Amino acid sequence: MNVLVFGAHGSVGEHVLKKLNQKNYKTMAIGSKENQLEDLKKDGATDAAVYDEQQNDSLLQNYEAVIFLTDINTKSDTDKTVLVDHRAVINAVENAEKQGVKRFILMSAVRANESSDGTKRNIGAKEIPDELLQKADVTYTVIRPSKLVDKPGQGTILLDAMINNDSAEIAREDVAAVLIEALENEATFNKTFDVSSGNVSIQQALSSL
Amino acid sequence: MGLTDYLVIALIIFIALLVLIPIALFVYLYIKDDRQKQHAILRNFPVLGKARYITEKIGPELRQYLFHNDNEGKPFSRKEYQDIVKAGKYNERLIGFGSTRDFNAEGFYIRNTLFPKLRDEMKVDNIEKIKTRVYKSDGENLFTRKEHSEERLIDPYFLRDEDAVIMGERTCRQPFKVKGLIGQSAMSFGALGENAITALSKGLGLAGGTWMNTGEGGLSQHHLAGKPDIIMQIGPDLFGVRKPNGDFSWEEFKKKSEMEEIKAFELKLAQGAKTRGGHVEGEKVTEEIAKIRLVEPGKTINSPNRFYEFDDVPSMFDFIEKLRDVGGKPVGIKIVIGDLDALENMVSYIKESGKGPDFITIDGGEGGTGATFQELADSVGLPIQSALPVVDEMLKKYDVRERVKLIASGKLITPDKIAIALAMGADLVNVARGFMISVGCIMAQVCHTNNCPAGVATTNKKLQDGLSIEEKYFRVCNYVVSQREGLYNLAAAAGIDSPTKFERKHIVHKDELGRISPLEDILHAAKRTQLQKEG
Repeated sequence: MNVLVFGAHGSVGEHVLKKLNQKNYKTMAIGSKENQLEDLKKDGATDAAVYDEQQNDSLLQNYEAVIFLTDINTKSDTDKTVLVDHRAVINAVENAEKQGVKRFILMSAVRANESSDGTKRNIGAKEIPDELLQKADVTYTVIRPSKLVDKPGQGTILLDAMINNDSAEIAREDVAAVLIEALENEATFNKTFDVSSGNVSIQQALSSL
Repeated sequence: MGLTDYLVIALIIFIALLVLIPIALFVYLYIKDDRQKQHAILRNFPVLGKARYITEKIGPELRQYLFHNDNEGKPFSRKEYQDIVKAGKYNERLIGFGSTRDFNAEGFYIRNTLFPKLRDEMKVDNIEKIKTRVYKSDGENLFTRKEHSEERLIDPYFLRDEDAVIMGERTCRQPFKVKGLIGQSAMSFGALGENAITALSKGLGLAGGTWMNTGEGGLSQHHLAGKPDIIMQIGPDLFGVRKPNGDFSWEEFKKKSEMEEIKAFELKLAQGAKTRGGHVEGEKVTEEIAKIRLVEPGKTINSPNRFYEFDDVPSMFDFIEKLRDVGGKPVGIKIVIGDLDALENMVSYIKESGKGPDFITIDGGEGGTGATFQELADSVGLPIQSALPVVDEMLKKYDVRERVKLIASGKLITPDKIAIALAMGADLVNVARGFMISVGCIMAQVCHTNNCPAGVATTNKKLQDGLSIEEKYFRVCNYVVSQREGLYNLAAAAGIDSPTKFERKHIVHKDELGRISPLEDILHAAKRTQLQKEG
């Protein structure tokens, strides 16, 4: 399966690329700047390109799956990310539909649905792409990780429709593993779920959805 | 007599003793002080005079903990010490409110540019993460500080392959390529105990992109514990590469050079803190140390202060050529800069003969040591900030800068000081005491006594028990990685995408009056001095 990874230069992205490479997927990594491309290839991407809304079409042509990482990177300016974020997702989803890309995995954030309360600007509007995806003609999975941390992955997680625990966290490495495991795991097809660190193995947790 | 009477008598005796014992003690001490002839103060003021000796004894500790301000202590202030410890514990270097540096004093500053590089634009290799442990604070009050350590994947801040520093690229069968600019300076097993050496080895091995210099005390199993890249130092006493009669053993040298961990060799001509040979008491020469150093156990070692193998530049270069030929690995020398004529003589001979060392380690006069004499430590050899630019300039003048890498050392324990050294011409930087502090050194300054309270600079089994290798080696890793990250921060501020690109133009010297001058002024001054000397 050929996989296209949007937001690949983020902190989850590098783990995703490494793991896809280990599992011999052919990948195209989409970064935001020219000088990230070398890094992306070093991380294990088969090919890499800079994000360009106009060319998304043609990029998607040869790929069967998309992993879209919303850039909830602590290093970026949060306000800016939100604005760019959902437009880019919408664009990617539309293009995926057009090109007949069947599989679409979106990494969103826990409690993304709370943004309609209006107070939490930094999650604002993140639910829009989630809804859009559910309506689109693709096999989607929306994975909403809790607070991302730089701990080493443990390979075990807690999976739930809604995780409302403020102290819940998950290693970036584990999120990457969940995203990739979900690619071909039918139990995850057309589902939205929250994930945090826990004690069920990733494969088991996803299969029991 | 009833019970009450007995109790009354007991009470009277008790009170009498309470009064009599101190009086007796006072009289005893009074007479003792009065009769001794060593101290005039005690003869004139028996007992009372003791206050002077007690306060003098605990003075250093009092000053360090209570009276010195944060920037005052020597060789390292409390602030500098804390900078190292925090980098090791938390992999963090954040401070609040503002700097406590004395901005009126003279010193070097890094020239920032108007438009720094973005993080994204830096040429850094963060592909392979490092799995380490860092401390997290859970809360702090007057008497307790709750912390726990947790696993963390951290960015290694390696140099990109194209920026990596390579020693002996054109001269050796096996050049040494290093992807970080900071390594551990020479510290021998014996000067430091096995726990400290093991913790350093494991920490440096975990961090990668760095190196460990064995010091002249030979290569031990403890150095190999974490499989770091090793630069083996060879001192005039040839520990670890000698025959029983003291001659150089090519056989032993070949054995060492075939070890995978050993990446380069360094001939120690001098050390910043001492231009004399080492000294080890017979009682410290245990079976293990004797075996590593290839000497007789129990016998006091007094190293010569120069190699017997060579006594001038040509003969040294021939020796280096042979070492490189036999070992196939880079060979460098460690020197202290004093006489510039002698230096120029050597550098010109590099040009003339096409031979010479693959790297030169320049130890500043402010460098540390386990044991030396006061006169040598304080006043022999130039400090690194004067020595380094002069050597760099000299190598450029003779057009041999490319073939020789420069390693600088001398209190370069934080990223800013390291960056300044890089701008002055260093290719790499050695740190010793920064690493000692990250394995627990509290600067008690008793390295020469074997009584190090932190179990670092001692071979005493009991004191070493206090040093937990498993806890400390993460701090070593975090410290060096944190320094590398800091270098990238500074490079970005200076407008360059890699710390390897620091040049003279990136720093400036400011004097007490606020006047600034470029580094070239130091070079002009050095040249002037040399001319006057020739006069």
